[in-house]
Amino acid sequence: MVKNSAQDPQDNSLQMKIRQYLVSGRRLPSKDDPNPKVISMRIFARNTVAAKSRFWWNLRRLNKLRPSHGQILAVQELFERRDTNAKTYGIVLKYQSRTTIHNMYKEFRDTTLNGAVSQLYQEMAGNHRAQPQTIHILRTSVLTKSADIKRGKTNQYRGDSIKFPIVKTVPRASHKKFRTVFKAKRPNLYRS
Amino acid sequence: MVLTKFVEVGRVVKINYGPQEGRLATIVEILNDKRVLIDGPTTGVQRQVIPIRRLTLTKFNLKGATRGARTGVITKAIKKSDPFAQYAQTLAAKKVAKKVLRAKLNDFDRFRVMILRKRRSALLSTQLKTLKKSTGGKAQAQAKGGNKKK
Repeated sequence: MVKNSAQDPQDNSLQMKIRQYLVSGRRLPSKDDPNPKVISMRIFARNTVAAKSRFWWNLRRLNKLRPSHGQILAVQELFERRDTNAKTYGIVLKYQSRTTIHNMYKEFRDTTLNGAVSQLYQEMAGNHRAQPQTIHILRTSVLTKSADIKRGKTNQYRGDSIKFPIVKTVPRASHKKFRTVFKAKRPNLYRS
Repeated sequence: MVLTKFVEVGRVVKINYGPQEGRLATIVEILNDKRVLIDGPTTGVQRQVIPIRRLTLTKFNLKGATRGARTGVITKAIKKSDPFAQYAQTLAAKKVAKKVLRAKLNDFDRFRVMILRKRRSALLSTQLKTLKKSTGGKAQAQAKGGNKKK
């Protein structure tokens, strides 16, 4: 029973349902410290409950603050300002492999940051068998200059006049009901 | 084999998988080798990221479509030169349109189609008879002669 968010992906098979939250919290006010400093974190999570949980997980380790000693002031969902154009995202992360913790930097092209993070999780799972709970996203940024983009494969798809043909097309049934085990003809792979 | 259809900004594509299957759209931006941003304001396709695998490239391009152009710009470009109307003239599009039309027929329409087909075949058979009469005698004699030789 998850409430739908405004920028949730239309098709779940194309993008994970990850949202970005800004969670703000502080230590409980006391006599000595009536106005404690507010700490905010950007968290990628499925819902507000998971976001709050991640917030406290981080604060315990970074700020020595436990949920019983603190309070969450606000959990706001952060939305993409313009999701109608493509951007290049650079993401710095660390993840726990079976033996050690590694730092990583990855680049993705997507229209929203949530989409880029979803791509990140899928790629990490596929290439490194890393589950989302072991991945910690440290920094994300939108890269606008070619000089800032480190990976050739993301750089090559920027530009106004890029074009490429589809050399091989594997035909498939347009709907589940048209799927059959046996077909009368071998597939034609070179018909675009 | 020369490859003539490209994944490029402005390429008119047909969605061949998913809830919007059968609709046309234009490629507005290329994300990477597998996904593109498409938009079809006049064909009811919302601006969206879609895998190239779900698209069929057509041979038409939308003139005036620039990389990342907004929906308004795309709509204006379509008004100037409508590649979707050009696509509707192709054989493939006509076949699909015929299929759609046939699915929409009601019982009376199907009755009318049956009567028209009967009329057409009657016309064809009378034409065939007259053709056979004019050339038939000679042709039949030749055929019989052939059989005899064998």
